[in-house]
Amino acid sequence: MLSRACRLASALTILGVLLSGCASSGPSEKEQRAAQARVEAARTFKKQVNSGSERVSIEELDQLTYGYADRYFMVISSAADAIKRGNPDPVQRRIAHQAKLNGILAMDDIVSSDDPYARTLDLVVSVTLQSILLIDENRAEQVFGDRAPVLIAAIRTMRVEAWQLAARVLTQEQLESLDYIIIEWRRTHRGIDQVAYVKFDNFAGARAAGLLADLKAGDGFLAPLSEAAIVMKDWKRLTERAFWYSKRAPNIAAIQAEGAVNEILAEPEVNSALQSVDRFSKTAQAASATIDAQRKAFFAELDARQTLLTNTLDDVRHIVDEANALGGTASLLTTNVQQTLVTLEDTLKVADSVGHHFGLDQPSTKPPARPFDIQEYTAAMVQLNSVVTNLYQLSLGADQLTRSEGWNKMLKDMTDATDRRVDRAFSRLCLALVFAFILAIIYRVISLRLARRMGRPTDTKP
Amino acid sequence: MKIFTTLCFVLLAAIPARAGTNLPPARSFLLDDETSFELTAPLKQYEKPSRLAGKVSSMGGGTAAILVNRWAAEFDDIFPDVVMDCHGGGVVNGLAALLEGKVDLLPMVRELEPDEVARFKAKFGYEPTQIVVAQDAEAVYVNKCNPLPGFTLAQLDAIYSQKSKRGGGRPEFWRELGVPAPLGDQRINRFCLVRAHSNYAYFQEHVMQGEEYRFDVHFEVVPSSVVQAVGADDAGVGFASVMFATDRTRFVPLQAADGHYLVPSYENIVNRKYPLVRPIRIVFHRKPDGSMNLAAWEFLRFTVSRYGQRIIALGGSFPLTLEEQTQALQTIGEPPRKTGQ
Repeated sequence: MLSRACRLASALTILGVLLSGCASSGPSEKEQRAAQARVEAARTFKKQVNSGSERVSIEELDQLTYGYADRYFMVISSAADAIKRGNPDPVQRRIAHQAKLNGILAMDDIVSSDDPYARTLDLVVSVTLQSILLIDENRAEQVFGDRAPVLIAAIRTMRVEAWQLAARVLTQEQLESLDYIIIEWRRTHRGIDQVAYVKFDNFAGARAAGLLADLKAGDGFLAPLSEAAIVMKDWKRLTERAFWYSKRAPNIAAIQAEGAVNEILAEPEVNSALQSVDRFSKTAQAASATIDAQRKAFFAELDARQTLLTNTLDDVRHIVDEANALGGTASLLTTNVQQTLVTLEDTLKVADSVGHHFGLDQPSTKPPARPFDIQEYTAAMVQLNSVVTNLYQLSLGADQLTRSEGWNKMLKDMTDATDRRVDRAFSRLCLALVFAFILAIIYRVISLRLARRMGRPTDTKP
Repeated sequence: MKIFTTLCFVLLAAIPARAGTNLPPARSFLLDDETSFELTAPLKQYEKPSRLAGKVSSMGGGTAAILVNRWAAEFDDIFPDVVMDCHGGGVVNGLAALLEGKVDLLPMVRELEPDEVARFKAKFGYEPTQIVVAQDAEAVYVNKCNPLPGFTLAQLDAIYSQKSKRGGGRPEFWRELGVPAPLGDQRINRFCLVRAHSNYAYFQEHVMQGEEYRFDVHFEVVPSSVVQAVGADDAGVGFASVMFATDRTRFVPLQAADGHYLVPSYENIVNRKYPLVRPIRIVFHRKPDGSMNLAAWEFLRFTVSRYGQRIIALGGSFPLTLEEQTQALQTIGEPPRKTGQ
């Protein structure tokens, strides 16, 4: 058994050994040179940091791409809305909305991806191809006529900004390579109109692969990162990405749903279908009953879809609740999912009112104008079916949003990241316990030795 | 058919003389597929060796590097055992790499300067070899809605330079260049490539007589962006290679030495009447004893062959004439007796 004095003595001995080690002698010439070298290295590093302020860190690149995506939403939405505003042509309204929707969905897909290097290249590729299609190939003017300049100016602005962003991380040679790759792809794929969804991965060949590899290796203006640093920063970036995505999900859902409604209204056969339905109700009361049945089926389908949609969102909410380890993130996400739900429900109401507006739920009571024509009946049924199909797609689109891989992947990533965090904490706890155990053994050994030394003279006494 | 094609070119070239209305977009001056086949038909075809292996490395700039990449993609298919290593990055970097023996080919859109030839000669004791591999010209682009009848070089100089050495004044609005309102009341928006591109210096030297660019010139990093900027801006003007022509821009006719206003059509470029003709070249390293990289030698023969020229003609560039091809093949010479540099 060690006395309190022994323990104190052993502790003092260890402290003394440590202190003597530090202050045993003055710095040798070699040590002075080493210290001087360290000072020089620190100065050089500071200079490099100051002069290299142009180099972009991975977090800065994240923020730059998020900022870019937000501006893209704003600029392209404004331009598309300007084309739609007061535009009597439903086809132009639909195409303008499609351009907005495709661009925003593509940008959302790009920015919510987890690789900032590929994200930067994807962003430049998508916007440049859109600008080539709309401006260089004159598609904007061909479709929108006098209303085109606002969209041309918008997409041009975004292309300029995309290349300015690229110039932050790519050398002049890499920029030229990227330009060449894009031009060549377009030259050999001139028939493709949905260019917003084209990504850098679509560019096969060693040249494209080499460019991405160079970028990841820090062979540009992007500050290179070690694997360890990337792992440490992943958590923070993932959370930021989740916030970014969740904040914008309701808006995207609203735009998507509006697009589906526009699709319905812009199709010539829908207009004629509505006219046919009206005429049909005038010509055959018997047929109007069938129409009414179709109408009921149509709304029953909508109700079914709405129930499914609500269930799906409940599932999503449940998954988000399970990610409660993330603290504030989960509650924010839940709030945003609820917003999404409200938005989608509103949209379905809009769809409902569209049907109401065009009298699809109001059988006509007016007398028939002329005899029943089976050809008209068939055509009307086909056209009405088109309406139902389109509205079905509307709800399906909303459904797909909540069931999308991106959304589920985000939730899975967050859960995985939480698990990793817990695992890391547990590992640290284990390490701390092992370390404490080892320290206890060392302390025990030293105490015993000291006790023996202090006790030896007593033992040798006669 | 050839007469008909020639007649078409003459008519297209004459259109700008009737300035103002219904001017054709720049893209209409590029060769269509049929004309591309027709113009390249007389050229000597490439004779492929049974087997070829090795590596060809190239570093150059701008349009020339784009064409080399197009050829390299096809050459790679023909000879899977040849590694094609093509880079952009500009002529200055390419020349440095050529001097260090790191690359075989230096594609460029200008002749080597005397001091650059001197550097090569100082290092190796002999001059580098160069061949013309395609036709090209610096086109001046305006928006397709701009009815501008044409530019003299003095006007072009006055638009871009801080001090117009050619005496073209200092135009700020399009009306000062003869464009009626409403566009005439808009300010001229100038676009140009950044200094890293050779056409920055080319334009500065050949049009601005060495004068500095105005401060309000908008600089773009890639040529396709210059042309798009003009296409998106009614009041824009820019210059870049003919091959970037689009549907929303049109070529501005430039006053030639004989006083005529000419667009950079194939005919006006081939007969060298257009003032800003810039043939695309490849500079390479061949020792006086004839030794050089065999794969690079084959690649050069491929570029000027009928097949090689057809590739670029179908891609929007202008091919060589038979005379130019013959001259290029003579310069490339016989197969190298020894390989390596």
